Amino acid sequence: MIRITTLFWVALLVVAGGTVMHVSYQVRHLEKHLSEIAKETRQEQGNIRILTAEWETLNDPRRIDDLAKRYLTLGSTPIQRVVALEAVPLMPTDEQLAKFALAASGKSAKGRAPTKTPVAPAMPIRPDSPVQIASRKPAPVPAALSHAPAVDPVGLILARVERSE
Amino acid sequence: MKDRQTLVPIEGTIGERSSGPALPESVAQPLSMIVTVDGAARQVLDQAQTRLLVVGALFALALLVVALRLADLALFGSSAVTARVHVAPPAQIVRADILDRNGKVLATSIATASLVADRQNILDASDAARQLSKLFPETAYGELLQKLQGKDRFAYLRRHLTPRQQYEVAQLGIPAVEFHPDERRVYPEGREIAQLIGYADSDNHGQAGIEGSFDSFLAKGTAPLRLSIDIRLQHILHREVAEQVDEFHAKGGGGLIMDTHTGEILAMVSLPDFDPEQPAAEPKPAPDEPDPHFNRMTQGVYEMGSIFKVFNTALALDSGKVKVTDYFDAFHPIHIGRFTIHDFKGDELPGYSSVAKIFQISSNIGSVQIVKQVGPEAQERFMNSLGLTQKMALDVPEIGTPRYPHPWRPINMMTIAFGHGISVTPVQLVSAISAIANGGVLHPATLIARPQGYTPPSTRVITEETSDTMRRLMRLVVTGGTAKQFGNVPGYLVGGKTGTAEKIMLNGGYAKKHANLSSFVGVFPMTDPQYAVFVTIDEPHGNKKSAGYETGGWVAAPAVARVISAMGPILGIPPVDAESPIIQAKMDIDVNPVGRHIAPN
Repeated sequence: MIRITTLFWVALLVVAGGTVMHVSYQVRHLEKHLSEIAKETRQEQGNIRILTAEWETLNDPRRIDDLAKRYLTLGSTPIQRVVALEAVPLMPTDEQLAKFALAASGKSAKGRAPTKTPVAPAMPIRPDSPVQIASRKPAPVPAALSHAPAVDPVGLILARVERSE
Repeated sequence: MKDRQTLVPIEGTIGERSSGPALPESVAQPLSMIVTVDGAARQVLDQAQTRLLVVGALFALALLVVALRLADLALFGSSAVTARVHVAPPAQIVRADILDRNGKVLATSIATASLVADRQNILDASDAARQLSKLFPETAYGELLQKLQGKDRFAYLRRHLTPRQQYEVAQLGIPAVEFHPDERRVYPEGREIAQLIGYADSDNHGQAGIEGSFDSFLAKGTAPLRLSIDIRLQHILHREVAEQVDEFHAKGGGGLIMDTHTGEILAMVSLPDFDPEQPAAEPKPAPDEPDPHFNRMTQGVYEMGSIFKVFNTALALDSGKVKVTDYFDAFHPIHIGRFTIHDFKGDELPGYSSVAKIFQISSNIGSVQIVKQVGPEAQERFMNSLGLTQKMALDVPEIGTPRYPHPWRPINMMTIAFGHGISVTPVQLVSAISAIANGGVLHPATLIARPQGYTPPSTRVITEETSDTMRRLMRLVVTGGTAKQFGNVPGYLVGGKTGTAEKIMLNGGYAKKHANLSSFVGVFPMTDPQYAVFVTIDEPHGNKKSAGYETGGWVAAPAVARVISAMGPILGIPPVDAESPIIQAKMDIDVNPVGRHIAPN
C-alpha cells in the first residue's frame, strides 16, 4: 500500500518537474523572441521618426511654395471661389425638372422667338485667374536650389545635419 | 476539563515514575518508557499542544488561501494578470515632438550615431586620422589626430553621422573607433518659426522659446506638445512680412495672427530670423543692428502709435461721456509746456470733426480732445484692464515688460491718446485689439492649442454696444480712412487701424529720418471678427511704390491684406458681398452726423 502511494508521488514529482522545466524553457525562448521584437520595434520607431521628419521637411510650406512657383502655373485660390455649404443650391426635384422641361418645350413650340444656343455665363477674368497665370513663365530657378537634393535614404534631413557639424 | 494521561516518549527519567505495572522486557526501546505526567509538567505539555494546534491551523489556512488562489487563476483566469503582461516594448526615451495645431511636426528628434574614439584599442593613430580626414574633408587631419591621441580614453570625433557616413566609417575597419547612439533635434520648418520654437543644444536641453520653457515636459518624452500655431498661416505671414521688409529696405519686421475668440496665436513672425539647427551660425549683429534671436512679438516693447486710438476711442465711448456723434476741435494744435501736438502734414482736419471722422483720418489733435473728456485716471484704469501695463503671461521665456508713465499725468494721457509714451509687446496689443473687436471680452494670449469646446478665461473690458461701434469705426479706416489704398480685401470685411510711431532713440528722444515703426492691425470678418492680423515694419524706407510714404497704411497694410486674402480660402471662410443691405446696415456709420460740438477746455 505504502509503496503504491510512494510510487504515485514520485511519478507525480517527475511529471511536475518535467513540466516546470519545459515551461521554463518555453518562457526563456519567448522572452528572447520578445526582446528581438522589441528591438525591431524600436528600430522601426526610429525609422518612422526619421521618415516623418523627412516627410515634414519635404512638406514644408515654404518648399512647396517655391516648387509651385517654379513648376506649376497654379495660383492660390481666389476668395470668390470659396462658397459656404448653405450657398450651394439643392438638386432640383423630379417635379421641378419636369416643370422646367415643360416650360422649355412650350416656348420652343410657340417658336416666336428664335431659340438662342445656351451660352455659358460669361466668367469675368480676374487678373489672378488661372487663365492669365497659365501664360506666365515659371520663375527662374534660384542658384541655391538648382542642384538635385541628396539621394541618401534619409537624405535631406541628415544632409542638413551634416552641414551643421 | 477531563483528566487524561499523556503519552510521552522520553529518554532517561523525568518526573515521577508511575505506580503502574512494570513494563515487559520485550519492549524495544529500553530507555523510552510511557509515562503519565500530571501536575506542572502536564500543564506545560498541554500548552505546547495547544500552540502546535494553533500554528498548524494557521499554516493550513495559509495553504488553503494559496490553493484557492491557484484554483481561481487556473480555472477562472484573472484580467488583472493579463493586463500586466507588457504588450508594447518600451521605446527608448526621446525628446517629445512639438506639433502645430493640425499635427504637423515643428520639432522632432531622430536617432543618429556619433563617432567615438576609444584610445585603448588604438593601433595607429596617424593612419586612422588620415583615413577619417579623407572621409570628412571639413575636419582637419590635425584635429582628428589630436583627439585620437588625447588623454581621455573616449573622445567624440564627430557627432550625428548620416547612415551613409556610418557605413563608410565601418568599411574602414579602424578598431579604435565605435558608434554611440545619439539623438538629434530636427526642425522641419527651419527659420520660419525659429524664435518661437527656440532650439535645443547638442545635449538636447531646450535653450530658448518653447523648447526652453517646456524643457522638462519635452524631456520626459511621454506626449507631444501641440501648439496653437497653424504652419500654413505661419508660412503666409512670414512670406508677406519678409517681402515688405525687402521692398522697403527695412531693418526688420514682425507679424502676428490671433484667433479673437480664444486668444490662440495662430502665427508669429519676427525678422530677421535664424536657423534653429545652427543657432550659433549667424554672425553677431552690430550694436545698431537687430538680433536674429530676438522675438519682436513677445520680447520687444514698442510705442504703437495711432493703433492706440482704438483704445482711446473705445474708452471714451464706453465711459458714456463721449458719443460717436460728438464733434471735437481737430484743427488747432495743442500746446502743452514746450510740446506741440499736431497732425501729419496734409492730413489736418478743417475744424470741428466727429469722433468717427477723427478716427478715420487718425487725427492726433482730435484724439487728445476726446480723451480729455475722461481724464488720466480712467485711461490708466482702462489700459490696466486691457492688460497693457502688466508683463503678460505667455508660454515662452522671452517676455518683454511694458513701459508706461508713473505717475500717469495729463501730459502722458495726451500722448497715450495717440500711442506714444506707452510701450507694449505686439502680443499684448493684438490681444487688446481682439477684445475691442470681438464683443468686448479679453482672452489671455496663448501658444498652446486649446482643446475643442474649451471655454477660455475671459474678462469683459467694454460693452457689446461699444464693441459694435468700434467695429464700424475700424471698418471705416479700411473703406475710407488711412488704410483705404491697401487694407481692403474684396470679399472679406476687413477692419483695422494703422499706426506709424517714431521710434525712441537710445538717448530717449525721437526724430531721425526713416526711423518709424509702421504697423497695421486688421480684423476680419468685421461682422463677427474671427481673426486679427498684425504686421509691423521696422524703419521702412519709402519708395516709388508707396509714393514715398513710410506710414502703416502704405507699408504694413498691403501685407496684412495679402495675408488675409491668402488665409481666408485656406480656412474656408466664404466671401460676402460688402454692398448687400444686411452688411451695409451692420457696418454703416455716419462721419458727418448731427451732434453736439464740444469745445476744448
